[in-house]
Amino acid sequence: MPERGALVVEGIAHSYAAPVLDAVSFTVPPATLTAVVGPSGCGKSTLLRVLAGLERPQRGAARMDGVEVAGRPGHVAYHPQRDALLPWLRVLDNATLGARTCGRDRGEARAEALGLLSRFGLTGVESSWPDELSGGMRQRVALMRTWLTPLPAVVLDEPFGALDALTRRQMQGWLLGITASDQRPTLLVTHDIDEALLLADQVLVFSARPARIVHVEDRPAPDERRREHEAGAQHGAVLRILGLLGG
Amino acid sequence: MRTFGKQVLPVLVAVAGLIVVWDLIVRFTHAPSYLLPAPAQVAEVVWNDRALLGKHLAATAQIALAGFTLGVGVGIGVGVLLGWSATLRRAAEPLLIASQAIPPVILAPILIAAMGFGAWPKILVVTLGAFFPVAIGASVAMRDADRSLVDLMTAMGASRFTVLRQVRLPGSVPAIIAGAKVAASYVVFSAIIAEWMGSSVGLGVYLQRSQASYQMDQLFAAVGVVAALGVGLFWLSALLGELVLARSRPASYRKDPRS
Repeated sequence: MPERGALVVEGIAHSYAAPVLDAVSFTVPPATLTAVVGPSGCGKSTLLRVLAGLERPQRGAARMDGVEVAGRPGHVAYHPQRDALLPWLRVLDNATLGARTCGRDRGEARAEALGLLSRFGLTGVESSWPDELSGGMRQRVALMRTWLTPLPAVVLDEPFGALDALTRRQMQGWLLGITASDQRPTLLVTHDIDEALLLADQVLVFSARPARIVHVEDRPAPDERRREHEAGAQHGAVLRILGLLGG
Repeated sequence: MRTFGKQVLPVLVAVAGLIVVWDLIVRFTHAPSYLLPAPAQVAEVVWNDRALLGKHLAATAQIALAGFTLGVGVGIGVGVLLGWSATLRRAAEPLLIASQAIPPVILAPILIAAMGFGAWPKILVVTLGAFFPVAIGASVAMRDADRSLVDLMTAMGASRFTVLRQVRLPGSVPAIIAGAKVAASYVVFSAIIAEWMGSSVGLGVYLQRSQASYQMDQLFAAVGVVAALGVGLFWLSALLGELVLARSRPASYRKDPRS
């Protein structure tokens, strides 16, 4: 019996014209973050789409507390690569879209979102339209929407891709801090190995298509990782992963 | 003042230019007034007949506006249904196209025979022409909604209806407005054809009487009024469209620096 609140992925395989995912299995325990790194186009995004319920896997399963989530929408808070803000909704309505869609009270969701604005660096833009914001701000609105979506697991597809270096650092710091208190298992796809090593309790290294897990890098506790990151002491792990990726 | 200079002035200049050319043709070809009346003569007829023309104009405008409003409403409804279900779209599309192949000249007498000489058969003729561009525009836009937005809502567990309401319908607003503008450009034409086929009042009736009695100047006067009504309705629909777009703010709208 797996842990309560863990996201358990068992042998998920998927192909479009050619095989994309080749029997991928792993577990994301609650209140932890697992990062996925791998060569471009190796099927990382496909894995997230399967978990978000947008693609039905050809084989395998993914469960949250015994509930099948693979290929079934409405179980996982999904953060797509593009910010996917609705152009006809103001910032606050976009940020609470997931909460409202999942049946939360509108007023309650808005109150919570208002409280989070400063944390996401969005103070004062709650009534703006998405097309009035910079790419980085749009991405932060999208992150807020993902966080406020009350589903039991979170999957993030390169959430910090469009951010400038400074905001990126701030948002990484925020994510590192919130993972443990949020209780939900979080899966993060990223191109940035440093980011994966800082944020993740476990880093999965994928091979080129069809993707298999070639290495699992277990990481120390968040505080230790933060110290390592600041001291630039993660070189060993970076080199190991780069070696596996053929870099 | 800037809008006047940028938008109204070019139109006035173009119309004035057209009138000047027309006047020159009349002067140089010495065309007889029963073939090509001079602009001044037509203007005189408009002025002298203003009460009568006004009455006919009001009747035609009423039919055109009612048919336009109903057509846009029905068009949005049909567009939503066709965007909702691919099967329904495949089944209904040939019928919709067939409905556009029926000329109003043939349809109007049938409807008038069935429904009498009131306004309704004429309004329906106008509606039939007006709904089509809106329905096609809306259904295509509904179907081609931004995939990433649809995926996002789907992953949240949204129902098809919620996706429709939150993503597909708001995303179709520009296409619906474009369709409505196309519709606005033919409603006056269909209203006149419908009046032609059986009515006691309206610009179609006035046109027919002028033609039957070879009153070229009256005919030209009526054509001028018809043209002005058509342009007026188009501008009205464009203006309403701008207002709706400004409120619904799809991304594609504000970035266009033209107009």
